[in-house]
Amino acid sequence: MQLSEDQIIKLAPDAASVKAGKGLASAAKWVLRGASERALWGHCQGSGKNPYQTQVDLQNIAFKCSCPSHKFPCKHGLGLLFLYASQPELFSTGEEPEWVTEWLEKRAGKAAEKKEKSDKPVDAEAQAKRQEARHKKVLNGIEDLQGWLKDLVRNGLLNVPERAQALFAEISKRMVDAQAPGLAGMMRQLQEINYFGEDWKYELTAGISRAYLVAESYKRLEQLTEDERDEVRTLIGYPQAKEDVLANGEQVADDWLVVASESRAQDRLTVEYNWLYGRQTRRFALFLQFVVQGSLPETTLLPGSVVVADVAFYKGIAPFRVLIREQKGTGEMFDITGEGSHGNLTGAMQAYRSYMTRNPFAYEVPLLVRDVRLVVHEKQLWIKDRDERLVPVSMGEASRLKGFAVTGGREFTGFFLAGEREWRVLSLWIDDKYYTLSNEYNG
Amino acid sequence: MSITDNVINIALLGTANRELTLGELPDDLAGTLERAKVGAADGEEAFYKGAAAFFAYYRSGLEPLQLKEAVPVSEAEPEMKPYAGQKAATLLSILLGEKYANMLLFWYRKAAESGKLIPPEYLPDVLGRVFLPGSQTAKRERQLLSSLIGNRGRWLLPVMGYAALQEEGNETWETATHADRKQILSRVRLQEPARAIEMLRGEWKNESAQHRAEFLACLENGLSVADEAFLEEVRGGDRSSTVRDEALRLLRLIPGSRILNMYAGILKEHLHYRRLFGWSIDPVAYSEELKKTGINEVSSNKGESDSDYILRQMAQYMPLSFWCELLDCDAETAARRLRKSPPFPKHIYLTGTILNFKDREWAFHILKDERVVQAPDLMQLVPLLSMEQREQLNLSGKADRNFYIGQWFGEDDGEWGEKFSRGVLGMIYGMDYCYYDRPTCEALALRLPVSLYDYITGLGSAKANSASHWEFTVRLQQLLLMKKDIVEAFND
Repeated sequence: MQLSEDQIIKLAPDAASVKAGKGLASAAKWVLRGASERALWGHCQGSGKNPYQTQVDLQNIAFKCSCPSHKFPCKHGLGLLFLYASQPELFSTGEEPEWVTEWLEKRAGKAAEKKEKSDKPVDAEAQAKRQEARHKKVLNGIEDLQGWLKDLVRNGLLNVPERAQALFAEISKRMVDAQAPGLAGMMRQLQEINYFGEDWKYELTAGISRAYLVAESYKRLEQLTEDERDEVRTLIGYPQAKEDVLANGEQVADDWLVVASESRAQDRLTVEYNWLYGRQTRRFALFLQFVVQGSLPETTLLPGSVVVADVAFYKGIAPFRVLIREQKGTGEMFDITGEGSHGNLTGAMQAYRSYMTRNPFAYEVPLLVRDVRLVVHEKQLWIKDRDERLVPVSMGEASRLKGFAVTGGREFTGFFLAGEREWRVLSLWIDDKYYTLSNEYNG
Repeated sequence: MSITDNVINIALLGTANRELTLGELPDDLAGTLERAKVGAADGEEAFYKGAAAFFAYYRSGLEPLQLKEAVPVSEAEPEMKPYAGQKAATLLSILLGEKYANMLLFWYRKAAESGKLIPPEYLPDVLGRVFLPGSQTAKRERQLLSSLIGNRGRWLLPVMGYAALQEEGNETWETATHADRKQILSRVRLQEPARAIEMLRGEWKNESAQHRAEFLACLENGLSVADEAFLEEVRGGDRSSTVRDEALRLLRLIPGSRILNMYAGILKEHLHYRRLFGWSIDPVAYSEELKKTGINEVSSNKGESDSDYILRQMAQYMPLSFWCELLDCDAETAARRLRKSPPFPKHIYLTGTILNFKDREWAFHILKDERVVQAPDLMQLVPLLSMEQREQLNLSGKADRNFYIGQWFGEDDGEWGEKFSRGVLGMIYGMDYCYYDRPTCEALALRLPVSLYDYITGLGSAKANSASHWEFTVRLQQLLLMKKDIVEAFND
């Protein structure tokens, strides 16, 4: 598998590792360089006498290195990939050395063991008891939350900004105790609103209304459709068991283009959001991974690459979230500008409205839009289509500059997450090239 | 006013103070709100249910904005030159870290030579660097980038909030900053020396003393007798002693100037050389005229007479041509003779004279007969030599422990010849300890031929017990290969 620079950058734990990794992408640093269908390996000459032994699993990206770095992947693994991406001819293509074969086999063994473990039957009765107990706890928590939300709005929100930290932290903790982590997360989001910006009044009012709506919906679960029930339970924080999703979720086999990938730090976890787009189905899918700091994600999906995979959709209202049932390999890039993408902003907004009408709980809607360009009007960044329609977009400074640099003000096809106030540009295609814009540290 | 504004206002003020009212709502939304109010236990519940409906209604009716007048579009012009290839681009991305500033300049030069442009995705980083305050290489980068960023880069600059990069030679003297003016003046001085003087005359009275002195220093390149009138005028009439001193310094760098001619006349009268007997010196009297030309009267050294001191000061300002005439021989012989048997042997410092005149030939005549390593006083003359001249130097022997290779780097980054490079490496590896920071290693790698890679491996192996040499070897080899990669990336 040949990776692009952008794709490799996505694997880095931080900006410093990207820089250090790039510094190692020179033949001079590697006294041994080898490659096979399944792996890359090399000896990197550091300042010590013994070179570091570095290896990369190319089939399901993973790294191993003998260096003492606590970062994963370390700069050597990244450097090896950067070098392979730019100069694959420098790598000998002979047989894998024993230390590489051993590692790959060990990884394959672990994967099989994991699968075996997940096949074990569950005790349904005990599970039902636990669910019932949790349901009661959640209902109690919801009573608390609704009472708290009522107090909040009775007194008015004007003085929230100066006490937002303590205010929402406390209720968030109470929701965690009530085993409603989804509601806790909603409260944390309110805590993170930019109260120095102009939009906080809208965001806060919409946010508390949404939380109230979710809480109220949970109290009336029996009145909802099955999809709505699943959606609400998920929003409250009930996990859908992986095994259940894999066995009973909607199964879709397709070639999936990884249109964007972004990471967000959440407590001690990094949540990786991988947006996929199917070649045949023209559907979006969202594959989430929760990575503990210092460890590697189970699956690596590189933005701009195509994976051939069977996925299973979670239950809910027109859900996007999926689990990957089986990854069969990599596929060829395909045309994304056909059916499924929108030729103008009116059509794209129609799709947004249509989705939001079906799912009033949603925050953002994924959209592919063709023939738009970035423009600045009255200090606000917009995308503009050929019909002179405009939608405000938000981008970090580095992404904004990269966006302007690669488009030069011309039309492009973009992948957007459409929100109610503004859209976010995560990636774009122009001149048959793909550019990712999502992670700021990628520069 | 947005449909949600009413809800937001009530939320801000509090439902204790204001109630959610129907107002002028669309029928379907008014009906929903009515039902929410009827079934609600209190005003707050009615608010939340109503707000959920309001926001859902708002989201379900969103449309893109259309303004009365079209928002103007600006597009970058298409490029006439090709972008650098994938390999070169990957190297650029490696170099864009601050740590590889010299190699980055090398990449820019190679790109400019091969007529390639910087790929657009790198432009924000590349342009951002040259506007970083405190960057030591920003000015040189900016000069090279004007031909590398293409139409896309020029279009991007205002988007980034930066002014256009000035193409070299297109700056306007009238509007340039003082630092830029010095650059302009130095450049004009090299091409049209007389015009540089004219430019200065125009602004002379408006500038501060410090600026005037700095402008004068820019005239050092290309000095000739034609500048004497202006410099004498400044020396005689400027109100600042700093400026007058600078004018005097320059006048003493012009062979044939009135001052040097006066010195030559006095020296010829009082200095005599005979092959068998060497130098004989007649005492000289101090005069007001000498005082005016900056010659001091009294020596601070008790071992040197005041007369010798006066003559020595003048001797130290004399170019090699004067000594040829005095010694009645050619330049090479004069240089050798002065080196072997100078007048005032205990006190004269002719190395400084050579450096003042930047006299390459004088430096070469001396250095080629010396074991340079064993003559630390002459080491500073090496940068004056051309690459061909350096190839003829004898660099054998162990260098002084204070030897620092950075002092041999000239202004350009031209590659050294193989023999000189081997000599330099021999000196570095001959020292007991070797630590060079990354910029110095980069600058060294840019000057060494890549063909010496294996030779460096050999030197490194021989010094395997020295950690500092080992680190230096690894670093230098990596940089050499990077340099090779850059060259190849643009040759492909």
